[in-house]
Amino acid sequence: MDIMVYYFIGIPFIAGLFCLLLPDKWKTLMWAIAFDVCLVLFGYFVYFFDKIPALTGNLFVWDGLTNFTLLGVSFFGLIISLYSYNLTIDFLNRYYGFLLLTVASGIGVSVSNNLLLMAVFWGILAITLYMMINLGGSDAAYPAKKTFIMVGGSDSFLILGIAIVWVLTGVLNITEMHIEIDRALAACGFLSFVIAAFTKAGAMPFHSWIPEIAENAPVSVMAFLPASIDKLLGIYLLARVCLNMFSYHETMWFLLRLVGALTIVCAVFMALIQHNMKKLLAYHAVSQVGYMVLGIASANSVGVVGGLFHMLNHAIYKCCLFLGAGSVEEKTKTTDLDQLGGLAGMMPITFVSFLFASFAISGIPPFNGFFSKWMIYQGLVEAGKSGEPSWILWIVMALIGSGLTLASFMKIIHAVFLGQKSASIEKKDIKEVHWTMFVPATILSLLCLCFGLFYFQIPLSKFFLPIMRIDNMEYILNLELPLLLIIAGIILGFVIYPMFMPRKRRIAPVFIGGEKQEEEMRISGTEFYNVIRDTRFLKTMYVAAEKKITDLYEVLKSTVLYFTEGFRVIHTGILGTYLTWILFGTLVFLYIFIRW
Amino acid sequence: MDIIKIFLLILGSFVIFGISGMISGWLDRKITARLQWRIGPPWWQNFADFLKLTGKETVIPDRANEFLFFLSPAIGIISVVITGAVLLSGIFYKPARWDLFIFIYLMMIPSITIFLAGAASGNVLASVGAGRELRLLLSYELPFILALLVPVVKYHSAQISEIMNYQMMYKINVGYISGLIAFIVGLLAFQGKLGYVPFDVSEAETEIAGGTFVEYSGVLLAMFKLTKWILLSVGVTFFVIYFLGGFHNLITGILKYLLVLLLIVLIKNTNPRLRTDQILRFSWGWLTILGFFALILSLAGF
Repeated sequence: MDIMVYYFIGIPFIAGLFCLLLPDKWKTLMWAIAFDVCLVLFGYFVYFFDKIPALTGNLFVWDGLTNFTLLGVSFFGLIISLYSYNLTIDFLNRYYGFLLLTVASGIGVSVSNNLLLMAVFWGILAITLYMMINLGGSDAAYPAKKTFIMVGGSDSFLILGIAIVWVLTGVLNITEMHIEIDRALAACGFLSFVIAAFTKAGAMPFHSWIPEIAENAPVSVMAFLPASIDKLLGIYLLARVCLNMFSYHETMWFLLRLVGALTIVCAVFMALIQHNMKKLLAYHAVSQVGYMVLGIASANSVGVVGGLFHMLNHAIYKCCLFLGAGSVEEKTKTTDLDQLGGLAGMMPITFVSFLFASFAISGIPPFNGFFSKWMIYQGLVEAGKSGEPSWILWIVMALIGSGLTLASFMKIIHAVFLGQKSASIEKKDIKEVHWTMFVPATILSLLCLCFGLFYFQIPLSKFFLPIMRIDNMEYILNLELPLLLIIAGIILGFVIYPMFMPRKRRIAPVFIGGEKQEEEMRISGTEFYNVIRDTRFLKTMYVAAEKKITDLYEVLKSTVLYFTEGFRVIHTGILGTYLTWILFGTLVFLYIFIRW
Repeated sequence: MDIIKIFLLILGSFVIFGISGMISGWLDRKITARLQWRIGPPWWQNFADFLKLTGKETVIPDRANEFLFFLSPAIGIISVVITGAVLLSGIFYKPARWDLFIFIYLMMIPSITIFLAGAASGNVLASVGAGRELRLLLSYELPFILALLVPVVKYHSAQISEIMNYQMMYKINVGYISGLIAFIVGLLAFQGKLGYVPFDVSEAETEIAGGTFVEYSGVLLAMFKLTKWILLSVGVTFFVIYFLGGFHNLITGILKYLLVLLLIVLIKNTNPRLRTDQILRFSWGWLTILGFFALILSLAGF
């Protein structure tokens, strides 16, 4: 088995390096390499899903969590490479090369048992992320740099955490440590790991790179890295840290829940007021991390499984949403919500898949997002039985976050697909995108539905119950009757409804009190929540957020710049000044040495 | 649980809540009329309205997205019927196997369908109404959740069967101060869910000509009317089960139902329509503060 692991990492790695060497023009060959490698890996992981024996070696570990993460990484690699077939992007060789390298190092992270080995792969992921964002052109340079500094900074926390853990236990294998957080050093180690996981997954306050890159990075990169792979791996690390490495500690887990709940609400408030589709989706990619963190931090089996389930669900629907945004951008050349509208009729398949994914992210039953959120709530109620009252607040924040998510997605649906067409849309002849672009989105949106309707049969019993036994199974079974009712209701509805379809129909122009509907009357939908923005308390928050006071990177940057201002005066960059200093210094040293 | 029972529950929910909803709708109209010194319609008026609408011609606006224009009334009616069936399973099957969170999420769907209907119409007035519906959803959702969580905090369980049992064993939720406050807050928020005055911004006949429903006519409009009636009936039934002890005794159960309905109608008739910013300030301000107060009280055991 051990030898197979090298193949899993080695094949995509070598294929990636090979793609980097190919000339940019051989588009189809590079696509075929990327697609086939991902297909083979995915096929292998699916076929041998239950059959791979558990492995705990010195370097590698292979258990339920690994199994499932590997499946996710290769699946999203496959989806994204299929989507990229018609991609118009400069430097396609770099795109496919780094895509394969990302898959390789993603597999590497999830099979490593040795923490140092994991840190190496973790570092490669930061580099590929940086390079892939940079493909967005010159506008993407600053966001890419910011991302690299933030993610790279978090890597140093990971290494610090590893060092602390080594000092504490003397071992570096994940499976061999069970650390009690009983002194400050252990707490520091725990927090270092958590910071690394949070930055990767994008939880507040380490989230600011995701909204920053959203506008300029290529959409497929957004769908691949921050939306799916980074979530899978970030939460994978968090789960390893919370479940395997460290044992439960009241204050630390409270801190996690607090961060999770705040992430949900703050990010969703930022998302409500965005005018750019990709940026809005990016803020939701931050907000949803809060649910996963809350679930894992609830510290009981229902909640933890809910958190992991939510991670999978999020990767599916957020990937689908970004791909939808990409399809819209491909056809209209913009993702500005003010300039879109009425696309539903022209891009029906994209619209329906986007709608499904929006319902899933808002937690509408019977889509998958509902079931994972529901399990997280159960976990929180269960955690509340210990007597500590804070759980109510977390539930309230999670529930209201879900309502706000729904509202902001309905806003996108209105502004992009429904409502009235904008002038620029009216002029263009827009058709459905190429099949390689809508097929991945459709697969993902059907998965949203499938993982909801068969939540127990497929995701829970195949992926999560092998990882963790749920002590209180009756909780989960409580969903069965409502779910059956929903299915029966939908079936009955679709049997009976056609009988009531109106027979007498007439098509008429829209009625607005007898006047003609003009272009300037158009309601785009971006102004729906201006009321919220103008509310007294929230207004100050929004102003603060726009000044980037909440952005850790900007705050640190300005602090560092403040302290280095003095050095700036000396470092003018003029060669003559430097030479004078050097000459002067040499003279001083000469004098000292001669006297000595 | 076999399949036939499931389908029977759905059909039963449709029939029971459909009829009780229409009659509740009639009571609403009758009481409103009496309060305004009018005589009011006869008891079968809503049935007649519904039948007549189904026979009418349906006008489809040329800019509409037909797929959603036809689909959203169906989703609306299915969602409220499912919610009703979930409630019924709580009344007929012991122990009831569902919990509060399912109910909260199911109750969001009617608002979404109303929004989608407005957005799919392609009409600016409908778009205005749709936007208002969303702001309304945002506003009342927070106090609604807070109010419904009060019994959860008290009994440390979101299982509806446990909450019903506790009410039978000790006293009904409204009997506690926290429960009473939660009941009031929840009822006001539910008024918003129903889209009744003072929260009828999304329809606002006098301003935006019916808002989200401006383009709807014929069968499709009849479906939305039915959705709203069923929603009224389902919501009131839920309040009776959740706060007032349920239908263990059918006579007192119906009396409780009528009491809650009367409260809703009275609130509807004694208030003017609010603007969306006023609604937002009211529900994120006073209602939310009251809701948190109730939560704290119930933590303290009152």
